[in-house]
Amino acid sequence: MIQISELTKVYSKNGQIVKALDGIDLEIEKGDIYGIIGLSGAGKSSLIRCINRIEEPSSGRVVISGVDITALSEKELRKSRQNIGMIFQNFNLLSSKTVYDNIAFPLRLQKYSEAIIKEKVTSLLEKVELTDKANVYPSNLSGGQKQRVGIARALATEPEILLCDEATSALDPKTTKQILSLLKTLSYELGITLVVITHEMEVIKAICNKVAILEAGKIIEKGVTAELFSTVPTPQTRHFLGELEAPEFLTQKGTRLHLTFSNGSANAPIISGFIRQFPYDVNILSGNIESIQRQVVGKLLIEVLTPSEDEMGRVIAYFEDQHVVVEVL
Amino acid sequence: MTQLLLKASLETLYMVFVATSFTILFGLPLGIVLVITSKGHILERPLLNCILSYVVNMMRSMPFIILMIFIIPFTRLIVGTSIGTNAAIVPLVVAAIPFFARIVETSLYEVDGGVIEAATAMGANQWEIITKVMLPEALPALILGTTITIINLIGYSAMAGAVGGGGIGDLAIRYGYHRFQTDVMIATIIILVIMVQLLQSLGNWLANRLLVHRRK
Ligand SMILES: Nc1ncnc2c1ncn2[C@@H]1O[C@H](COP(=O)(O)OP(=O)(O)OP(=O)(O)O)[C@@H](O)[C@H]1O
Ligand SMILES: [Mg+2]
Repeated sequence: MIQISELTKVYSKNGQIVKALDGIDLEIEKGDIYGIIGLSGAGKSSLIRCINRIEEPSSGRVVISGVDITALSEKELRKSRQNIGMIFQNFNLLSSKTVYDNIAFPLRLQKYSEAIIKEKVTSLLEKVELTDKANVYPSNLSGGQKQRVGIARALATEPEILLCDEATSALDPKTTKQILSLLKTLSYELGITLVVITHEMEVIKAICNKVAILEAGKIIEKGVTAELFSTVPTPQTRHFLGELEAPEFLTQKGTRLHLTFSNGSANAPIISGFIRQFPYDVNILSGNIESIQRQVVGKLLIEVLTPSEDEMGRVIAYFEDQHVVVEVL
Repeated sequence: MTQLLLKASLETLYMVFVATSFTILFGLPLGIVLVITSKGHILERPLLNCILSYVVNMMRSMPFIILMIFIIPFTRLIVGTSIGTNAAIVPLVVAAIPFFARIVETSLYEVDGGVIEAATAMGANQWEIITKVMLPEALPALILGTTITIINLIGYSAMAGAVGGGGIGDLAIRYGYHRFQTDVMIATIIILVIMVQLLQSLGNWLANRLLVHRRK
C-alpha cells in the first residue's frame, strides 16, 4: 500500500543543516494501523508530511498503491492527495466556516454538486456523532468535537489512507480514548489504512497493529506491536516499550530478571511453579499486565538469590521452558 | 455656504470612493503576492518578494505632498491634466496602494499556517487556498484594514484639495485660511470628523458582526 524507501529529509536553516530523516524504509500494508513513535524532534512529523508531500523529501521514494508520489507533477500530486486524508494535532479547521462547511470543503474543491455534498456531509456528521452541531462554528466546539470534525473532513473524499499527526496530543485522556476508538472503528468499517504519529505508547497500544520506533531520523525498531512488546528490547528501545525498572531505593541482593509473558504464559502460575521447584528466595519488585491488540502481555521484575551462576542458568532455563522471555539485568 | 460645503463634501466622497476602489483593485493583489511569495509560503519566490517589498517601502517612505508633485507627469498621462478632482485621485491611489498592500499582508499573515497546510493536504491549489482559505479567514482584519485605509485617504484627499484637487480640503484652505472665514474652517473640520467617525463605526460593526458570528 505505502512503500517508503531510502527516504531522507534535510532542512537547512541559517546555514545549519538538520538531517530530520535519514534513510527511512517502511512498508505499510492495506488495512494497517501503523504507528510511528518517537521523542520530540525524532522526525515523525517530517516523515508523515513526506507521505503526502506537503514536505518535499530530499531523496528517496514514497510509493502509494503502485504510484510513485515523489515523481508526480504538482497537478497530479494534488489529485492524488484527495486519496490521502490528514488530521492534525491542532485540528486546523477553518474558523470562518461552520462545521458543515468545513466538512464540505474538500468536496467543494472537487466540484461535487450541492445535493451530493449534502448527502455525504450528513452521513459523515452521523458517523462522527455531530449531527446537532452542523451549523456551529469551530470556536464553539470542544477539542474532541473539533477533532471529530477534522476526521469527518479528512474522510469526506473517501480516501484510502488517513494520516494522523499527533491527532490526540491536544486532548485529555478520556477524549483521547474516544477519538482513538472512533479511528479504529472507521478504519475497520471503511477499510482505511491509518498512519498514526505519536509520542505516546498508549496510543500505539490502543490501536496500532504495527509500530515503528523513530529516533534521530532513523527507524530503530519496527514490527507487529504485540510481538515487539513480548521480545527482549534493545538498549535503545527499552525506554519506549515501558520496561519495568526496579525502584532505586532498593539495594540489589540477588540477580534481577525481567520476565515478559505473552499469550501462552501470561495466565500460567509460573512463580508458584518456580517456588515449588527451586529452594531459592524470590522477590517481586515490580509488575504489570495489559492487553495489547487483544494479546495479553505481562511483565514482572524479580530478584532471585542463587548460590552459583550454574544455578541461575537453571532458573533461567526454567522460565524459558514456560515461554517466558527472560532478560538478565 | 451650505451649498459650498455640500459640493465640497460630495467631491471628497467621490475622490475617496474612486481612490479606494482603485487602491483595493491594485493593493489587494499586491498584498497577496507579498504574502504568498514569502519564505515557506505557498508560492515561495524570494527574489520577487524582495523586489516588491523594496518598492513598497520606497513608496511608503515618500511624504504625500512630495509624491503628489513628483508624479505630476504620470498623472497627466493618465487623466490628461494635473489639476482637479480626477487628477487628485491618481496620487491618492499611488500613495494608498503600498499602504493597503502592507495592511493586506499583515492580515493574511495572521491566517493560521496549519489551516493553509490542511487545505494543501486536501489537494487545494494556490488559487483555491487564496480565495477559499486565506481571504475568508482574514476577512474581519481586512475590513478593519480597509477602514483605516479609507480614513487615510480622506486625510490625504484634504491635502490633495489644497493643491487644486477640490473637495473639503480645498474649501478649508480657500475660505477658512485665505479669507479668514473661521466658520467655514470649523464646518469642514466637523464634516471630516463625522465622516471618519461614521466610517470607523461602520468598519468596526462589520468586522465585529463577522467575528461574533464565528464565535456563535
Ligand atoms: N521547517 C523546518 N526547518 C528546519 N528544521 C526543521 C523544520 N521542521 C523540522 N525541523 C527539524 O527537523 C527535526 C525533526 O522535526 P520533526 O518536526 O519532524 O520532529 P517530530 O518528531 O515531529 O517532533 P515533535 O514530536 O516535537 O513534533 C527537528 O530537529 C526539527 O528541529
Ligand atoms: Mg511533530
